[in-house]
Amino acid sequence: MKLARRVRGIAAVALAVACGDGGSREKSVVIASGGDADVIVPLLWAQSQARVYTELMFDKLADIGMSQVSVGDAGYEPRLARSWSWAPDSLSITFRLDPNAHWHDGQKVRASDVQFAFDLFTDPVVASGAGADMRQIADSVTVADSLTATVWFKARSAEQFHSIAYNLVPMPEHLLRDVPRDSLRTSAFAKHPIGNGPFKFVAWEKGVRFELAAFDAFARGKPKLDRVVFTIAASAPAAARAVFAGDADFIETVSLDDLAEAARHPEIAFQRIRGFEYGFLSFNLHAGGTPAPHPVFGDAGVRRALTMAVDRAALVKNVHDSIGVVAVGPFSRQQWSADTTLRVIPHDVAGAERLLDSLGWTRSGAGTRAKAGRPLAFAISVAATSRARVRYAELMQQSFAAIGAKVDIEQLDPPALAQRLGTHKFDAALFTWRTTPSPAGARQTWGTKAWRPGSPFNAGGYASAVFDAQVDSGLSARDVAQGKAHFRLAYQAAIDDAPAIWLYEPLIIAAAHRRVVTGPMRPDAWWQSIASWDVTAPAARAASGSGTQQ
Amino acid sequence: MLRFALERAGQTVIVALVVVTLAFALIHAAPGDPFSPSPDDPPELAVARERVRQTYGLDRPVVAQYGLMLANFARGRFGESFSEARPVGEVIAAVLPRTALLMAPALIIGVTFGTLVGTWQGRRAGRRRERIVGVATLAVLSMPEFLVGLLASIVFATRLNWLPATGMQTADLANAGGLPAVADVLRHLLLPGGTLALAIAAMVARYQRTSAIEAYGEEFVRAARAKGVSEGRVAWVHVLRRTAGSLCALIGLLLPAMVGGAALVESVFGWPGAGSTLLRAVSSRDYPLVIGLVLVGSVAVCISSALADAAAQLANPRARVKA
Amino acid sequence: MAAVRQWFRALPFTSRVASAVLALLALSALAAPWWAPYDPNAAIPAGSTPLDAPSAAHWLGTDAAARDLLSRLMHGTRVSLATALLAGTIVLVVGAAWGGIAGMASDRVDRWMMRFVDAMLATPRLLIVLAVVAFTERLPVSGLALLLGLTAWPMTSRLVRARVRELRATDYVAAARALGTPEPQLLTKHILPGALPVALVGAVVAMASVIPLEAGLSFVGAGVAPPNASWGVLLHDGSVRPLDAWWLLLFPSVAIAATVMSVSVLADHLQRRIRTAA
Repeated sequence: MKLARRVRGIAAVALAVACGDGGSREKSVVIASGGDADVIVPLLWAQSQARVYTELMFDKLADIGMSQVSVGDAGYEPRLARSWSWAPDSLSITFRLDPNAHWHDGQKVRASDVQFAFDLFTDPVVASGAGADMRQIADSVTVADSLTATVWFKARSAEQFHSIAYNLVPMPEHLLRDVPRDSLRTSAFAKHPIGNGPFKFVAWEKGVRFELAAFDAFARGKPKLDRVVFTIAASAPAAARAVFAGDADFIETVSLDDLAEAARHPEIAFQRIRGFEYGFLSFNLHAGGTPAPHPVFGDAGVRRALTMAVDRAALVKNVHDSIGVVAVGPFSRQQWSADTTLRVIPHDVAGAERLLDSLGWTRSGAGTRAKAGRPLAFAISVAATSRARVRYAELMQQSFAAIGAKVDIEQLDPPALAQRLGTHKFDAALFTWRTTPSPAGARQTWGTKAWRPGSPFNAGGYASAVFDAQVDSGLSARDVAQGKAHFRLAYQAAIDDAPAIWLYEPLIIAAAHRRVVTGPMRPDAWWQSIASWDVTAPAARAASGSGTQQ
Repeated sequence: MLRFALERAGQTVIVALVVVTLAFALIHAAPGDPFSPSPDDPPELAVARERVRQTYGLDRPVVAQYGLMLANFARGRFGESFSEARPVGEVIAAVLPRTALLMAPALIIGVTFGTLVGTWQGRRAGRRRERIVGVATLAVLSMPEFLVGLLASIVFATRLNWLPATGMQTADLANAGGLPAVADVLRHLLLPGGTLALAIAAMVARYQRTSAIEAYGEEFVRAARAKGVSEGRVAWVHVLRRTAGSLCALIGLLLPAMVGGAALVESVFGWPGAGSTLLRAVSSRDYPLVIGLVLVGSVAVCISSALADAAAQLANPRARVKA
Repeated sequence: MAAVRQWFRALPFTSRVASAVLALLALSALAAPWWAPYDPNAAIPAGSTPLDAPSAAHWLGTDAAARDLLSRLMHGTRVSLATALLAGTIVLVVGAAWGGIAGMASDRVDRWMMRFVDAMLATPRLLIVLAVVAFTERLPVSGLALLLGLTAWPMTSRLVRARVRELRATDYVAAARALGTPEPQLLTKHILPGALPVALVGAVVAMASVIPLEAGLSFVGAGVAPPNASWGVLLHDGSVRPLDAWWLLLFPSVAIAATVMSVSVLADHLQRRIRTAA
């Protein structure tokens, strides 16, 4: 019996000796993430982690800068395209490529790669969602010479440059020309992509790690880092734990609970990044999947009253404290269309009670209100996995109880919640939308046409002609000022109609080991800064345990 | 022997069929759907998800889905994993070896350790020290394996920092190759493997104790002692040989019971094996992957325990298989 | 009452401790709705702060959502024990029925019935349970108990079958048969009472295995769902900040370990009693 123990002891000692020499001299960073990608070919992925990988391997023509303005091209910085020029009628843009740009296999990047990419992504066989969007605004791409490509548009629009720059990622024609388009996702190229970005693909063990190495011949300069490794944890909290344990150097976002760990880890630095997310309690304006109005929420007055009952500032302070701000309307403050001076529904409990009384929802004493036999009762559906959202739901439950509404909280796991939203079988649901610098998402999330069976977009069925019209005008406006004016009207309409209670905008808090120098990170794409990251000291990871001693 | 092999093969087929039928009976009752666009997705992502949903034929009538999958299973094709966008067979081929890497040493060490402890207990049954060991064994057995693993992780990884808390390899060492990489994997193996080994040892010790007590009470022990055979030889040669048969039978029964504990331990330690992959597949409603892993897991365990029982038969044809 | 005390005194020391532990846990589980000091699921309990160490106000401390751990533990015990009990009952009924029928039936039928049992024993229980959990939304606690019971009865049926076969072959039964006693009466008067203790032991042992299984499932979120408490949920809550809030992990661990140990000790004792009685 003791023999077995002794053998184990000797083995452990042998291991410790063998591990004496630490990792290599090269500069590497390990990034922890709570999820993995599905496909690592641009525009063909469905899981957002893939966006991180593909944007590191494939360069765009131009990319949005820290200003985060997606209208026109002023907010854009050259990438693969060294410069570009607009035709006088704005129906075409000509891009001139960097002559030093190369693919990872050594071939030069040519204008024909841009044309090929357009063909590829807009081909229905390839079935790319972003590609389909691109097809709606752009006609074709023509090639003047090996470094000049012109994109032809169907019409002018405020964000036409944005949609091309964001979506039209040049692809290596010489490698993909002969690959059958319907099996692109499972092709050899998809297993080992060749891009032109600052990092090239090395290895991918699905569910475990994803590895990139610096591309020496990168046109805009070789990255300072030699290697970037993504280590994939089972969940977001597990990923955070990996960073605290010293197994990883960086994580994009830490939760409220993790922040409390901060005190014990002086070697970890935190950085606040403005977020693009906003959370809200969405009311279902229709009765479970039918076009008939919801017995409680069909009346805008009731919705306004419920909004008045909630002290949003206090809620955000309670749940998010200093890492969140109160949301104003159906937008993120980071978007260029945002306006924080809009008139919001005030917190007024007495007013809420009066309003409900006047609408016929009466109660005796301190009980639940009722109107024509129907009690003022409903359920809030929320994802059980987010402690913050559950907390918001609980706090609102109390606020609503104070004005005579009986609320149940239904905690669901994400797929179940998604299904409820898709089938529109819910009363009220608390969730978030993650937006992009472009406010075009408003159409998809609150526009009348977005309310469709099977789709979780605009699941509450908000329908406002004013909102739709103003958003469309805002998106087709010529400049930011005009666009903002239209969006202001659109957002104000949405706030007044109260199809949801706009709750919070969380800040993103990134955590990085102090040895990693990240510099400022773009709120909509923190990973873009990796190309300029540096490390001040090699990792102590290979030594036993982790980098910290308790 | 042939008859035994046929019986066991038949059993494996029954198990496979039952599992497959169960899986399909459940499919149409599933509410959550991984390819429904999630409210947390940016608009472009949600569109992509809807598109992939159609590709996988989730909108086909139930009966057509059933028939299609049954035919595919017979050919060894389990479809594509929703969350990993690659054939389920590929996923299983990737994760199953990692689980084997975890289970094999744990089994060997656990069984060895447990046998030694159990036999020692059989010799000194009833004495004070043996009773204490018995209580310790029972205590270990009474705790769920994942809890033991969790506590070990807290003590050795979080608090003392001697060993890594999660994962199979240190991220940037994976390509180093050679001895450092192997040593790195072994370091990551210590905690989860040790946890499982401990649990297995406790289980084996408990049964081996009873076996050993019985064996010690038999004629041949008295005869051996009378012949002047040393106590050590009596224990480690004669008694051990006598109990080998039922020990193998125990392992055969033990394997299916261990799978659950192993999967949870994998999850606690982030060991990227079949168990943690299954748990992840369950929570993300990745149907093809769940079905594939459950089926392959059941069949694998069936075969392993059949092998263990075969060893039992060989070791001692007259072994009394304890019910 | 006096009979209980007498039975208690007759037990060996370990079994006495085990029974006492189980009685205490069962009592707290039963009394939870009335005796628990606080609401276990309260959103914002008045006056409590999150992550308080054990104190006079909160005997076992509070968790991250400022809920009293003692109350949650009492309710969690209720859920976990009820699950185990329900599963155990199913094991008893189904296992005894299957094993009894197989034991009394012809060799052929017996062989096929036992083949099915062997197949079920060869299939890892967790896999089956996970498959069902994956495809059903929010299994209620009773559903989970049902599922756990339905995957645990095979071992018991084996025990029962063996015992029934044994009993069938005894001289006693042969004599009764010779005297002309009809089969059904043989079954109910002689065989069933003899097989029942074995079935009971099997059910108790099954309960000892169901408890960790339920805890594991709830721990990974596939069993009892929050905010309801069960031991597995409490363990999960405790695993987030184990060094800071040690009480969140310690007390549920002790509860589980103590329960399973006590049940195992009692099962052992029962088994020994049966063997000596036979």
